[in-house]
Order: sequence, then structure tokens, then C-alpha cells
Amino acid sequence: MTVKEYNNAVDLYSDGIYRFAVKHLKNKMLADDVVQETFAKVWQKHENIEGAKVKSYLFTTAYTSILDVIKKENRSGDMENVDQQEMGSSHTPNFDIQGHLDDALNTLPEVQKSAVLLRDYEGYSYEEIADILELNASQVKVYIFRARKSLKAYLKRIDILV
Amino acid sequence: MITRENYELFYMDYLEGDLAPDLVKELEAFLVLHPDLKVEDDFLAPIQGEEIIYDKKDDLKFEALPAFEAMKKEDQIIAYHEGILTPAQEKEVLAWVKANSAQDKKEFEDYKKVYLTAPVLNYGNKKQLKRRGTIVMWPMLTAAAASVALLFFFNVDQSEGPTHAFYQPKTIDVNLPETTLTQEDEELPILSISTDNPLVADATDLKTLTKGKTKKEPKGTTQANPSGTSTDTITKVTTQIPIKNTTIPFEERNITPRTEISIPKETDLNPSRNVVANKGMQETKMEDILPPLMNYAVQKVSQKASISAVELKKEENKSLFKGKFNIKIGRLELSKK
Repeated sequence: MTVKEYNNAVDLYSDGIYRFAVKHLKNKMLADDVVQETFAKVWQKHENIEGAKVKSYLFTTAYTSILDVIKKENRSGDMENVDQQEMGSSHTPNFDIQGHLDDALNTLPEVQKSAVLLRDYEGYSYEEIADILELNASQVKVYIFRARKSLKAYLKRIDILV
Repeated sequence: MITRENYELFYMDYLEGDLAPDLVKELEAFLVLHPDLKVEDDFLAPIQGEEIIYDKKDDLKFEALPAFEAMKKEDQIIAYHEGILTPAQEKEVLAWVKANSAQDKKEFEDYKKVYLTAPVLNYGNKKQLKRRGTIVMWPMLTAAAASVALLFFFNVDQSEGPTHAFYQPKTIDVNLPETTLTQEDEELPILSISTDNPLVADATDLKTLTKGKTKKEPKGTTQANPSGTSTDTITKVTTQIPIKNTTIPFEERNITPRTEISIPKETDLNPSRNVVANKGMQETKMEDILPPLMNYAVQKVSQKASISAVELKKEENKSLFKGKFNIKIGRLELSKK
């Protein structure tokens, strides 16, 4: 990947990586750190990365970084506070279904959450998601199906879907 | 005999069921006599393990989704919304939904709502992430520095004596007669002359002084010599003047002008082996003739930039400023035609 391709990747994918990180971490500062770290890692290896595969590589790197942050923050017990301080979603009533879906998303296991985010936000196929999350396509399919059921059950539980 | 002092040994075996029958009777009789030593029954009850159930077994299990025909209706609806069905399968799902109860229709609609819409979330620090391509300038700069150094180094009469002399302070007696200075001598530009002696007016005066021609009288202290020799009367002051370019009489020249300098690529960069090869001349060690800065620059260019050679060609018997020359350092080329 050339410097130009790398800089294009920044323009094209940094928003997506940032969104992916924000949705996982519920903290814009932590998400910013993940984006910086992700692109720094990709830059270190940019000469060995094909331009066509940079998006997948970026999301894989971001996903790993996100999991690291989650583990670290869970250990320090900061994630719960972050949840409330940064995003305000826990106590702010959501009157639109997307807001409730965001809350529902946070109840999913990380792997299902990632699969759904990559599917819905980035439009990845099962194979591409499998590549990013280091699973196989069948697993991804199962995770997404389970996630859909969980999301629907959550919305039903809070009477959004009557 | 069982006593208060040793009863525990027997009691432990008794509780474990390992006590001999005759001792069992004796112990039981002992405990009747000493009821305070008897262990409470609830203490002896076996500890019941707390039942802890992991309720996420289903999440750990992996079962690939079956083919469409074998799928539950709920999974078929999800598959429909996921867009992974063939047109025929989609029609089948729609037909099923249409034909069934309102509850099934609602389920179909509910699953349509569990898809996230990407929020507009722009990352604001993109500029910090971008990188610039690195242009390695230093080889070119080093080459240019070396070229300039070479230019100044060769801007002397090549016939002069020890080459390091022009950066050694040179003592001349300005009061010497100029019998050795004739018009045959080659005139070279004076690059720098410095003096601390206030009696020596300026470089122009010194230049004319060395030429043996009509001289501008510095401060009116000199007069013409009819014999053509120096009549300089600047009084008896010996001045320390570092002179880079001056005229050396032919009589004093005993070195054939340098015509070409070439340092092949494979030349060992060890200064002691850097040699200037003069055609038809003795070899001179590089460090003897190169100023330290130039020597350093030449080494840097050759060593770091992997430049093949430093090559200098100049017109015979001419200084660089007068004759044609061509300096090549790698791809950098300076020439005067």
C-alpha cells in the first residue's frame, strides 16, 4: 500500500472505524484512541498490506484494539461509568427505535455485537465479517441470527414491539 | 483405656468407621459418661455442594443453520431480511407470511425493525492520521556540499607545491624584492586573504603586489622599481596572511598539473587508502590534500548514498575557474563548458 493509498484509507474508513469503536466502547475518547492505534499499526505495516485489503485489515486491527480496551476497562471497572457519562444512553429515554436498538446492542456479547455492526453499518458479507473477526462464515451467520433474535426480544421486552 | 486425654484418637476412627468393634462399645460408654465431649450431629452431616448452573450453554454450542427447507419459520424470516435467500425462497417466505395469522405477519414486520442504521459520526482527527511520503534529501545535499567543497579545493593553480599549504597560514615577507614575479605567472583569482596587519590595506593591493606590474601604491608607501623587480617599500613588516590563491612562479613549480581525479566505487573508504590518482604523477593520499570537510563529504556521499564514484575532470593546466571542468558525484553533475 502506498502512502497515497494509506491517506485515502484514512479519508474513507476512519469514520467507520471510529463509529465501530464508539458503538463498542461508548466513549469517544477511547474510540479516538482506538482509531489512532489502528491506523498507527496499519501504517507500520503499510508496505506489506495490499491496497484492496486495507479496509478489512483496519477493522480487524480495530476489533482487536477494542477488545483490549474492553478487557482493560472492565478490569479497572470504568466501563460502566463511561457508559453513563459519555453516551448518556442508560438514563436518557430513547423515543426512536434506533436509540433502543443501540441499547439492545449493548446487551449482546461482543462478538455478536461486532458481527451486527459490521453487517449493518459497513454492509460486509458473512465471509468478510468472518475474515475480520477470525471466525468462519457459518459461525458469523449463527451469531447474526442469534443477535437478531436477541434484539427483537429486547425491543419486545421494553414494549417497543407490541 | 479411653480417657479424656486420648479419646480424640479413638473418636476420629469411630467417626470414620475404622474403630474396632470392642473399642466402639468402650468409646460409646465413655461418651455416655462424658456427654460434653460428644460432637454435634449437624457438624457431622456431609457438606452439600451448592448447585451452580451455567445458563449460557446454548451460546457456546455451535450448530450451523440448516438448509432453508429445514429451517424454522423464524429463521426463514431472519434469512429473508438478511437478504441471503434466493428469489424462489423469498417468494416462499412471503407466501407463508401472507397465508398465516396476523401474529406471523407481525413477527415478520418486527424482524424488519431490528436492523441498525449507521449514524453520521465523523472522525475529526483525520489530518493527524495522514502521513507524508519521505523524500530523502540528504544524499543530494551531501553531494552538493561535496561539489562545492571540490570546486573551492580545485580553484587553485594545480602546479603549486604541497597541496595542504593553502589552508596553512603562510608567511610572506612583503618586503621581498619581486624578482621572481613575472608576467609569465598565471593570474588566479584570490578567494580570501585575511590579515591582521593594518598596514596591508586590502586584498586588491596584495594582488597587485604579487603581480609585479604597475602597482597601486598602498597608502603611498611603495614606489616603482625600474628594474621590474619589486620596489615595494612597505616597510619591514612580516605579515601572517593565510592565502588560498596566489601566484607561484614557474620556477618553483615542479608538479605536473592534475588532470583527472577519480575515486572508483570499490575504493575502500578508509581515508588512509583514499588516493588521488594523478596521471603520470606520484600518488597523493586523499587526507593530505582534501580539507577535512570535503573529505568528510566525499566519504559520506560514497558511503551512505552508494554513489558509484566521485569524478572530476578538468582542462589541463587550468584552474577550475579558468578552464573547463566537469564534476560528477553520483547523478549530480557540475560542469563548466
